[in-house]
Amino acid sequence: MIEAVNLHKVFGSFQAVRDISLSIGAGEVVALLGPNGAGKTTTVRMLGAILKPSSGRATVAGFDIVTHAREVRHVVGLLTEFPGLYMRMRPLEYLAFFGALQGMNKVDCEKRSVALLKQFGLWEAREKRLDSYSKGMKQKVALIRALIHDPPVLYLDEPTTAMDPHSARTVRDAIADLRAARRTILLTTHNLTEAEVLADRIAIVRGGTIVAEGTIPQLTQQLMGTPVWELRLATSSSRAVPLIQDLAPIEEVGEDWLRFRNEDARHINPQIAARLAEHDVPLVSLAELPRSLEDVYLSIVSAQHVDRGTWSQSNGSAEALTPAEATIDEAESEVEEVRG
Amino acid sequence: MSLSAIRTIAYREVNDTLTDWRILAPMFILSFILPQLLIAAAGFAIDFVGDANTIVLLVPFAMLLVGFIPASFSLITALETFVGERERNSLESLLAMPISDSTLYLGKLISSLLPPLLSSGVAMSVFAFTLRISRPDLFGPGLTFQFFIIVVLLILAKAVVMVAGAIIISTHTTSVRAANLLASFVLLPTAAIVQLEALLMIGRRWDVLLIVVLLLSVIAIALIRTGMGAFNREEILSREHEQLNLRHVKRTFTTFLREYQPAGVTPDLYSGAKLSLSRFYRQELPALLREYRLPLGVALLAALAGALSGGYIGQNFEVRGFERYLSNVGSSPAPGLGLVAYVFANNMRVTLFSSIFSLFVFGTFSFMVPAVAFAQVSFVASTLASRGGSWTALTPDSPLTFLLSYVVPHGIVELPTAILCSALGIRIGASLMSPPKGFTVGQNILWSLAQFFKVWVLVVLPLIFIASLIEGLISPNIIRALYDAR
Repeated sequence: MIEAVNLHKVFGSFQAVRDISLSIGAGEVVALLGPNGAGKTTTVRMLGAILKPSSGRATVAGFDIVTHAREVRHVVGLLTEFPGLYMRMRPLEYLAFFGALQGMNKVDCEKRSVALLKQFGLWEAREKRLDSYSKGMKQKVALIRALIHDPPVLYLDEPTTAMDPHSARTVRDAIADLRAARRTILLTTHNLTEAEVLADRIAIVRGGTIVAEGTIPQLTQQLMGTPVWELRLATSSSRAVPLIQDLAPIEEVGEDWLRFRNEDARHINPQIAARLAEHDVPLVSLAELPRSLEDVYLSIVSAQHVDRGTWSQSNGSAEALTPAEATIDEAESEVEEVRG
Repeated sequence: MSLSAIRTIAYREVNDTLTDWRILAPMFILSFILPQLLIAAAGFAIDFVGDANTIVLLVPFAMLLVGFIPASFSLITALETFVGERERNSLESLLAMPISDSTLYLGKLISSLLPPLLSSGVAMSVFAFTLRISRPDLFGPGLTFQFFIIVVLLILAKAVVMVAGAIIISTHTTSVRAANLLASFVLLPTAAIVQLEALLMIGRRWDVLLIVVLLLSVIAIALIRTGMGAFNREEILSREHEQLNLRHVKRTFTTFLREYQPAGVTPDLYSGAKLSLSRFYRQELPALLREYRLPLGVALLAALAGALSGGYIGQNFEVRGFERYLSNVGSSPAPGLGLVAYVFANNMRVTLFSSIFSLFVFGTFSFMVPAVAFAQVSFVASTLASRGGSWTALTPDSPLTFLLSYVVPHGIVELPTAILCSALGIRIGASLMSPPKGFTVGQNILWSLAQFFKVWVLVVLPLIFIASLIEGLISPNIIRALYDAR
């Protein structure tokens, strides 16, 4: 549904996006995750045919974002970072305005507005002006605006930024419903929970480029290396260390526990359990240490001030990050130079 | 371009304006109360001056004010069209709609114009109606149908000029505050035009006022075209990333200065060659002049318009303010290096400042330089001719003598130089409005400034120095020879 190849965007001397390639299938939800200024919004604006790429190309629903910009804008629904509503209007008037600009006829637009307002729980507040709405309600209206023409593709740019937890939850639930309805969604956020809960795939953007991409397990594996397992014993861990060190590299050792890296749990873990049983070492538990998206994300973001060797060593997977790391350093230094 | 989308955008904005009491209240006051106040003031003025005939002359101007003040509201609404939406974060959702840039531009233009013009129309009607009822002695001689139409046209044309100019400002700024500060570039020329109109109304020069209407219409059309050309999503959203980086500005300017490439070629595509005088004179200057065909044409047009209007005024009017030009014909300062230095410094100042300051007034100053220079020359020549001077005899009252002694010797060099410099300044003035493909507005300004400085130093200054030498050392002797000998 969305295909982007080597997108670049330069504003004067500032390179906002460099070499972003992305492929999103129909019904897929992909989160662009990255700190402020990473280039997420610029990427969305290019894919929404609002900005033209400086180089590279992209298609959305088969339409080229440069040569068929108007068609692209028609198949895309954009939820901007801030709701940006016309506050003196009422929701039905507001939606009628955007429906008309999308080329909808008045009757269809009204029917759909009514249905969406009911679906998002705003029907009771339809007579109130938008300036009297809460933040969450405003963001819902903005989401309805993006959905008014029933687009197959949705871009949600920082949908819960600066919202209180309750409002954010409301909007997140609404997005989950859209996901269930098999819309193609590109979600940009720096909210890790949001990305983890809503996205099928995650692309981490930094310095205007995608530095890592995949599902959460893939990213964890790719960026944090082999999974770490923790063994808890009913005796001193010193008895277990000599028994398993030839099977898996041990990372840390505590009084009655130890941690080791294990790439092939299905084969190695039964062997470890068997050896421990053979030598009467009482086993309490053997479990994989959970690694969250936050660990993955922070490992990338905090990498900027760590030299290459230290980074690779501390994360155990140099080869997975070499190209990304090189690009990040390059990007950072150029941005620093530009900002002078 | 979609008419229904233009109507949708305009309708929403007009509706928004007309339901906001903060805008409605002043519009009501200006539409219904201001006309009454001006009529009351007219009555007071008649009592004070004791001469109703003088006040009758001011009635048209009062009506112009009554109509213009509400119309000037259009400047405020237009200034915040895009930049205001950007500040309220509602712009991006509008730009994401499947409508063309022109549709969006025209929708905004119309919506900025309609409410103030409506208010202006109401105000003028209230003024005319109240005047007819309460002061029929002023209404009859003061307001004719012809006058009413011209005032309406003047206000309409001025409102469109203000709105089109304000929208250009609005698309090029990043905050409402910055847009308001830049509004003076629209307000000051408009205020000057209102003063001119006041003089012409008091003088009852309806023919000249019609010319003013035509000129304003031409400016309005030019500004709308420029606005439509310069308005695009790319430019508006790019402003968010603009930062003032003086090192980068200096680097870009230096790149443009060292080497000539046509406008639109971005600095990263320059070869990085150093400035070379031989390359400049042999290759770059001819190429630059070819690229400057349009501004050169406009500068020539300014010179021609100046010459024609100076000739027309000289032949048809007695202008007391210009008499000093005529009384000085035949006299000359003593030739010498002091005169050379004075003339050179004066020409240097005029060519430099008119071009630089043209950036802020869309090239007007540079347009005026050849226009005024040629107008002065043709005014004196045509006045001498209209007073009986012969175009074929070398007598002191002859326009031929005047041209051969005061104009031709140094003018052969100076006047073409003035036209060249004017073209450079006009290009600087235009750079703010419509950057060529590949350039941002900032790059376009730096490019035109770089070309100006290069040509000014390497071509204009040497030429005006030669002209100053002639004017300071040779022309006075020719003047003495042709006038004193007789």
